[in-house]
Amino acid sequence: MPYDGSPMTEAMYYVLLALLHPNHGYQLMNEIEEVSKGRVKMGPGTLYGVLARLQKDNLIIVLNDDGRRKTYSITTDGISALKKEYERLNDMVDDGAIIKEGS
Amino acid sequence: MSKFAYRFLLSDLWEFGKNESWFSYMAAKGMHLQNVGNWLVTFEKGEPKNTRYRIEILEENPTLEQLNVYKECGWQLVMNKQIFYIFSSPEELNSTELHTDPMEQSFTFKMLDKQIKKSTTVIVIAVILALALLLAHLFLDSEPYLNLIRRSSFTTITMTIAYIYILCTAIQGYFSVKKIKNSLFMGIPINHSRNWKLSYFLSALVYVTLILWIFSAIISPIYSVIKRESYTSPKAVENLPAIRINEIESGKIYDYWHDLQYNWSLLSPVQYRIYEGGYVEGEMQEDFSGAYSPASVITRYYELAFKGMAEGLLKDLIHHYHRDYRDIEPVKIESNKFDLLYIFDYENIKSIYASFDNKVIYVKYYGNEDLDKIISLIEKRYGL
Repeated sequence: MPYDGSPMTEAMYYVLLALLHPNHGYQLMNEIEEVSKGRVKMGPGTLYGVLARLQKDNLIIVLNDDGRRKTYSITTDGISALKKEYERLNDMVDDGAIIKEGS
Repeated sequence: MSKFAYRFLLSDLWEFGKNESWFSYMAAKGMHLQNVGNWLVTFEKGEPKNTRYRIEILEENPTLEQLNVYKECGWQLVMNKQIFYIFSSPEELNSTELHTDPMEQSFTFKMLDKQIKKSTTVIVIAVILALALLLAHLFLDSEPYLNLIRRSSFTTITMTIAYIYILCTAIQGYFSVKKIKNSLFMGIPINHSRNWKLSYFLSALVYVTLILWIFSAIISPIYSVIKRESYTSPKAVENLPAIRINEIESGKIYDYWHDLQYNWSLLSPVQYRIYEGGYVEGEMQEDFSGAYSPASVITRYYELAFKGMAEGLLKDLIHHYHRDYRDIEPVKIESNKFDLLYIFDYENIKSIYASFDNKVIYVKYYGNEDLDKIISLIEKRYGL
């Protein structure tokens, strides 16, 4: 089932974000922590679940597999999906500005 | 002392929380999870340790790199069974959870959900077919009670219960996987310290029942063969509360034979069949074959485990043994001695079908004596 543009899970969003630079398993987890400024600590089960799903949906590909480690990279589909999600989230934040006005 | 300890499987592996907290409980007692089989879980005995266990569903075999990443995060693979992988981590490491996103974790249940849907459908169809076959066997000749008290009845009954149990667990499993998947999808994480004690008690109960059942399924036919005895001497018949041919006949009886057979079954623990016959001195037969006429009596006696079965069995006995005279039905007689009494009197054949308390008796007499005489003999014999 390809990705249908529905809201992404936090895990999916951050994996795509981190894969803007090709990366591999363990490093990716650190990268996600870094990108999220320590807010998102991803468990390995979640990470590999997301990687498998994104690969099926063609949002990421395995750039290099030397048998020892796989290097993943985001695809153009992945980038456009990520951009769309970013815009959606942005709109959400913008719309939420009324909270501040009200207070 | 053995290095390993074995326990029955607590519940299906997809019940993550219960299994995980049970494994942790065992580890704290010094029994460390080693392997999970179809029935048994193997623990290795050692030092007590506080260990976390997590069960993970992996559709594809994990790569070495993936397992290394798990390890670097503090999670060591203990074992795997089909798509289930069990990881452990020492409590003091305080490792990040395997799954930090319940919604993502719910996607791992997708394949299990599909698998279980398929297998449940197959089981439901198979069980319905098997039950239909069993019931057909019971009702085929429209003598269900008679079939139930025969020797194979124990197997039939327990098979029915077993089939229904399989059906219920399959359906329950299907719904429980759906429930876990849905609750994860709603963002509710797995409760890793779910109470396992009730499940343990229930599964122990099921296993004990199962073992007892298998044991008795083996024993029951053997026991019924042991209990099934045949005698052909008049002595063996003497001690039984049965009416004898020489009691019925007023004339002298010659050449007579005896045949006694005991049977046992779960629903009718005491059953016997007595057959006695001979020749009675008397008037010349119409066909001038001699001055002797044949006489015989056959008694079938059943003591039932449940009184409620008596009427059904009585009807079945009539259905079964009254085949040759279908157009003349046995007549129901009101009696203050028997709960039910049916008689059939046609030329020199006299049949009595009677029940009292949890006992059912069928007597068929072939001879020249009166039916009333036989009924009063039965009453006397059985202390009515």
